Amino acid sequence: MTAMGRLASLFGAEAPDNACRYAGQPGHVESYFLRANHPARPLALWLKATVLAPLEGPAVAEAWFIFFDGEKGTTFAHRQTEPFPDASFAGVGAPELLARAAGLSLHLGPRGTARGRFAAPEGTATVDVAWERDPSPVGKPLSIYPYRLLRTGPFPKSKLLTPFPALRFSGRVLLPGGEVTLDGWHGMQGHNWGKEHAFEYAWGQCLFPEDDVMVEGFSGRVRVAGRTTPRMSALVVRKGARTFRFDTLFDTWRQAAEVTQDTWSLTLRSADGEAHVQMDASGRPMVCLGYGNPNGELSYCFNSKLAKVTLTVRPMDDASFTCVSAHGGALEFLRREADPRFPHVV
Amino acid sequence: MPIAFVETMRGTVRDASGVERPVDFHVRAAGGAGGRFELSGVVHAAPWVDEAVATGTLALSALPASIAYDVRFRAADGRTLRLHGAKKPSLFRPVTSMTVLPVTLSDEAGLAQGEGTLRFDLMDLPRFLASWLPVPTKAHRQLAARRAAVARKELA
Repeated sequence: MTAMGRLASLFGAEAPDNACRYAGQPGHVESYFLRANHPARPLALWLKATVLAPLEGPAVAEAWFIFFDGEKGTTFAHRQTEPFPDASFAGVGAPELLARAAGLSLHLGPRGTARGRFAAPEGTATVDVAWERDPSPVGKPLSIYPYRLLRTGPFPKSKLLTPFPALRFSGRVLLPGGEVTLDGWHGMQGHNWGKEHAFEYAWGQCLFPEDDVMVEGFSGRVRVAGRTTPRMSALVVRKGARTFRFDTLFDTWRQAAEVTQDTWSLTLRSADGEAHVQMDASGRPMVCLGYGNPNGELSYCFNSKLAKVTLTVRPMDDASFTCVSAHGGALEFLRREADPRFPHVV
Repeated sequence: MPIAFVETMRGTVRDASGVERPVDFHVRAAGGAGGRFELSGVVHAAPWVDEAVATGTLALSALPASIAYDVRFRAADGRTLRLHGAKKPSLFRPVTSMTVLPVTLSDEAGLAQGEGTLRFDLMDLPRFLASWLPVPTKAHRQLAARRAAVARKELA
């Protein structure tokens, strides 16, 4: 890319949220993911389509599927891979995208669909779901990063956006153990990309439909010039039409994050007030996913979509509020080390 | 001319069972005549009360140097509680002596419920200084709105 081209990408018009950033260059990883939770029961669906372009070798497309059943304490998880030329990630106008990867087809947009078939050794799962954006302002596109340069510039190497933070799902999932009907399930769609996965992070998202509240945030460390940075955190909370941003990423003075094997808690202060979120996936179904990095290293993603979440916000100009979700939290930990509790890495 | 400013103090109070409880107050101090300010704002002091409106006084004294806080609020069980203590400004420890407030939490009868320490966060200094300006600043407007919202919540 020329110097002018680089400047244009930094300061020019940003690509639509769901536009595919992969342009055939080596050293790229990008994913589109969806998750949906039963409104009352501990059941959740997670889907993801990925592009992985290593520094050396051909790019591949991957499709991921997990069904979490907190009632039985089980998961059904599978990944399928195919050469990238056999896949397709095509824009059909902002903010929509058609993604087809290794048996999974996604039509991403405010009204979208996901169809796929996953043939795992323990049986086959099929998914056929549709969704529409929650009409509340809570469902507006979201970027946790406070500055556009963090999305368009070289730092950090991994970018994230949430084109649709609040969706309502319907459809069905056929599992080896039976069929599950999705009717009014709550969820979201995210998009991330970059030159590599972050070195380490805890990421969480949760909807509290009865309170018209949404929270998404992370605590992470990245590598800069071969060194690992201190943990940086950010959180965005929406309540109806109001957005509370706790995204002073580099102000570690006003961040207190604690990450354990299965829990993440974070307290942040900003000009909008103070927020505390606690996410806990202890004793709940969790899956270990192997995320390839373009340099060949493997990261391990410990993925739960049934975390218990407690959120308290104390706005500077309003009374405080607390929201609790018994099992509606998306909680992921990305680490560089395997965990002996998970002998099977998907 | 009356003086007004907005201040936040955060810290912990150790309850009777020895557990450290996070406590903070956000108050507007107004007045200044005779070194006395009226306080109004919001306090968070779980488990005594998650959030409540607060009133009280702040008294400045030159000899001995002292900034005494007396913040009153209604606990969840209906009792009126006082969070009181004093900073002792010192030329030898200017920052610590002006930012650290040892406090006692006591009930109407004066019975101590706990003791602890609150601190002024120097990251809040710009906002604190701006709140001294003789015009209604964002800090004053926000705290007024917050206090009103908490009062409405208490009534509900």
